[in-house]
Amino acid sequence: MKITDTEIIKNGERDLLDAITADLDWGAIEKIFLKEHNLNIEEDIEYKSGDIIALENQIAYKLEFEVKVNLSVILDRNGDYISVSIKGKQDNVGLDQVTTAENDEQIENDIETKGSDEELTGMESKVDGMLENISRSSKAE
Amino acid sequence: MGRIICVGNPKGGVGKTTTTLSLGAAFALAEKKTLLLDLDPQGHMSSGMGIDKKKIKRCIYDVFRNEAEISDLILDCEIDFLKIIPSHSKHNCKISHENHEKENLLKDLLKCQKENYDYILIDCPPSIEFLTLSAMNASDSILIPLQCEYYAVESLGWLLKTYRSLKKYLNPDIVIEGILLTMVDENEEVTIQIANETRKNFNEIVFKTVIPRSQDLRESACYRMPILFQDITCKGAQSYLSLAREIIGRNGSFYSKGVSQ
Repeated sequence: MKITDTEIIKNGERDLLDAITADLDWGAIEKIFLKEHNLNIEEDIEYKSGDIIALENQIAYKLEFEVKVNLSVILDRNGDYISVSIKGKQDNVGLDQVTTAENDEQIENDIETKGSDEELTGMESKVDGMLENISRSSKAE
Repeated sequence: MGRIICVGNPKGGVGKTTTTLSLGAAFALAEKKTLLLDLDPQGHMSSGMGIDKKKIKRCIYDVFRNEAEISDLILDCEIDFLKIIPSHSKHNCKISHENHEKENLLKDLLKCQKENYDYILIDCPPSIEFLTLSAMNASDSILIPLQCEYYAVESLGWLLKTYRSLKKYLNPDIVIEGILLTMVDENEEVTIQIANETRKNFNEIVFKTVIPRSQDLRESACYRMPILFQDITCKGAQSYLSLAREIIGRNGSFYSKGVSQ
């Protein structure tokens, strides 16, 4: 049993989302992307669509964005892949954030694409290579 | 302004304490003002310096808790140029979680001591936890003793990952002072292989000096004094004098081409 026109609700919701997105603080959005996703975006971001959702028993607004990001793949002079890094910066870090090698994946994603980091990643790969060589030659004996 | 060097490797028994103690003694004999900081709760370096650990009333952990001043902990050694801050296992290191700056505690404490010494050497515990990370955070460089055996190489990988992470988050200026091959027995094939592999892969940061596996060094702990004070002519003592010369002789030039620069 319909009690009002569907289009009126849809239009009302669209107008509400338009009003929200018309007044977005894009600087704040960029900061969120940087903090939450380690994406450093300056201009290549565009609002695509929005939706009204329920989150933890409250009305919330989900906004979809299209972002253009540049990603790098790094390889050494032998053609071997070294690492993929996303340029990002974290605030308020302490010893808790320093790895004890239990969160390798996080490090791989966190490390900035600075030359020294690439060198250091290369050093870690060298250790792996050393271990393989030592094992191999021991087995050969 | 002095240089803070932490001696670290998460694997135990690779020669961290012997290296810290002997290198410190060698620096002191070269008339470089040197402070040794025993950060290992087991306190082996303290007993290696002839300190009766039972008589230690306060140690660095009391300073962490604001219950002592760092200057009160510094003890004299046999020669003028050498001082030590001892440690003892009865002093467990509990740091209040309310202290948000805990990662910088040691760094701030040592900052004021840097101007009093040419070198501050920190003996780290055989693990990677708060004390080791604090030491790395407070240091200008890390010296990595590498025993020529498989597990020690595994630990090197772990340490390098930690070093990379620490460099990103806390101490971007830290560099690798060098990898020091320890307990080298030239008659052992595995030793030769690991030494060769290490030089092949990390040549520019591996010290030319190697520390031989020697009875003198093993026995030195029993005498409770650095090997250089027992018999300066023995092979072990000479190797640490050579290491000290290598570090002092760099005159900073190494750091400009260090791995982190």
